[in-house]
Amino acid sequence: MSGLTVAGIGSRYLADDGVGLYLVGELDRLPAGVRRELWEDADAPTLTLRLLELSGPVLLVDCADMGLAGGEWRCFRADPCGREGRLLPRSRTVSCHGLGVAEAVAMAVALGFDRPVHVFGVQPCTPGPEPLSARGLSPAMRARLPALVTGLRHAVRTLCHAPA
Amino acid sequence: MSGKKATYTIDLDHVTRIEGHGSVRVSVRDGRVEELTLAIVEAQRFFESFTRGVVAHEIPWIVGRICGICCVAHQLAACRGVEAALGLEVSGQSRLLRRLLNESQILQSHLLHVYFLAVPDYMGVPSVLPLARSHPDVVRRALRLKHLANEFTRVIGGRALHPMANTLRGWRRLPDPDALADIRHRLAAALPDFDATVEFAAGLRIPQFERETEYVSLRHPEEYALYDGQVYSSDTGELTPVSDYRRITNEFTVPWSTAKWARWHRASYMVGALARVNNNFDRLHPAARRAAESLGLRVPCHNPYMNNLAQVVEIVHCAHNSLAMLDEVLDRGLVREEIGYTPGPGYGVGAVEAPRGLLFHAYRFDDSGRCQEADAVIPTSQNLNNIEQDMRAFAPSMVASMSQDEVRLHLEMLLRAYDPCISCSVHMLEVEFIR
Repeated sequence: MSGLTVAGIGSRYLADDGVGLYLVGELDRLPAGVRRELWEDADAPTLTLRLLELSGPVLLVDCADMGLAGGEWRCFRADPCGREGRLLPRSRTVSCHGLGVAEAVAMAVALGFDRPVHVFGVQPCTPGPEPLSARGLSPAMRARLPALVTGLRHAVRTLCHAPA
Repeated sequence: MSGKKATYTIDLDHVTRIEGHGSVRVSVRDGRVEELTLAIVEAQRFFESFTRGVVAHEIPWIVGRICGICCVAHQLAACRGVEAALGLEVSGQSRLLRRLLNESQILQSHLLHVYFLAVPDYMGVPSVLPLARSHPDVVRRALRLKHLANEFTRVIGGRALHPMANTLRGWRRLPDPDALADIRHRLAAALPDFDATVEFAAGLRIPQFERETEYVSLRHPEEYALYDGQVYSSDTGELTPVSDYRRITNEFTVPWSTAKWARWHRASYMVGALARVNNNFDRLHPAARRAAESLGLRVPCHNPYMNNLAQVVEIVHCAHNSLAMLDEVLDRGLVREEIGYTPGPGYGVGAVEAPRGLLFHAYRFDDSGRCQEADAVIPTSQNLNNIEQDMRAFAPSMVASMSQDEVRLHLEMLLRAYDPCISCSVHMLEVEFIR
């Protein structure tokens, strides 16, 4: 799969919410044709615009509440064609603060974005965002970083060899 | 279907597309509204307590976290309150940059609210997502403008969200002149999108309900007051110093709300875009006054649903006024200024116009310069009482002429028209696995 973009999403000021930025920042020696981007503190409209600018598939690396143990990860195709999992846009309860990644992807798809969307989701170790006190990842998540980076590299390699 | 003689209860539990949890309960018996309450069930935030014992210059950055949408307004109100307490001067350059920062945030907030939260009501869809399919050109324009406004805030304040460049007295890191010129160019290039926003909004069918109330906002002798001024009441036509804010807000509690309510010269008052446009129409940029005319917004306007269109008028004002201010900054050039201060005792009040209305912050410092006491009165808590009064005034005619679903929709739309920010919440990505 050529033209893959690996995009880290989140905020470094919201504890484990920033794990996607850390992981993508750690990626090096990427396969040919793969580029990495950090979409830090991007709101939903910005994420939608970023997606619409892409001409190839994207792997979103983000903190995600998936009902797993803290620090566990899953990689899955998440667009409407996805068979493994899907993002859940809050179609009715969407608000200024509630416009998130799921809504951004749904909006991009509604506007014609038809490239595959994959998610490398990491379950947070912290129970929720701690905006005032928690700059940086939790100690438990930091301890998981080496394993997560290995998992992300594997996911990128797998996607590069997958059919478009 | 007519609602006459009907008996039913509407529980709008957790009204959507607003910030936080607000519920509306309406009991109708034999076609008459027996009970209507706007219940606020959010937990207390305790931000004022967080500032106790904190040194002065850290306060604006802490209280800015009250809201991710209104972070600039909270930061500016806090700066002004602390500066008043400590007798600190702010240069003309810093004042100009703060006005730009505030208007960039008003652009962000109004664009988000109008396009993403309010418009779906008028297009008969539950959210912006189906709108992207049915009106892709409108949503693409909304995305372009929102992104531009984000970039505008980032250039002036250092970050699009919770900017940190502004501090007491001035700027820690001045905006880059090339970035200022670039954002000025992009803002000018976007004027056709702002015009299209007015044209689109002019086609929205606004519900026809009117109830005169007291409109309260800042007023400034020369500017459309968004950053400073004195408090103006449409009831008296008089100006009141910001320092008398407790005499203005008269906060009180009601059993069905965890948020405090407010009243001044009558049972309730309104703050926000419509109050500002009503009180300061003569100070709007000429392009914004023309937009108001195109939108059919004639002052004084007593229809609270028109708050959405007043936001569009302010979008036009902020776009054009910011262009003029950017020209001034670029012509004048920016110079690094002294921003040091001496900690000490004092009490002061600051106020700015947040996107949702008048925002007060008050601080008291002890001899060591640490904060002893803080108070923040946000626009939504000032508006809640007025929203409920509107609902009580409009509900009988709604019940008499509309189906239950239409009553429900119009009450939700009324609440959303005020763009309330009942709380701030942060959500993580939710995923459902298909097994």
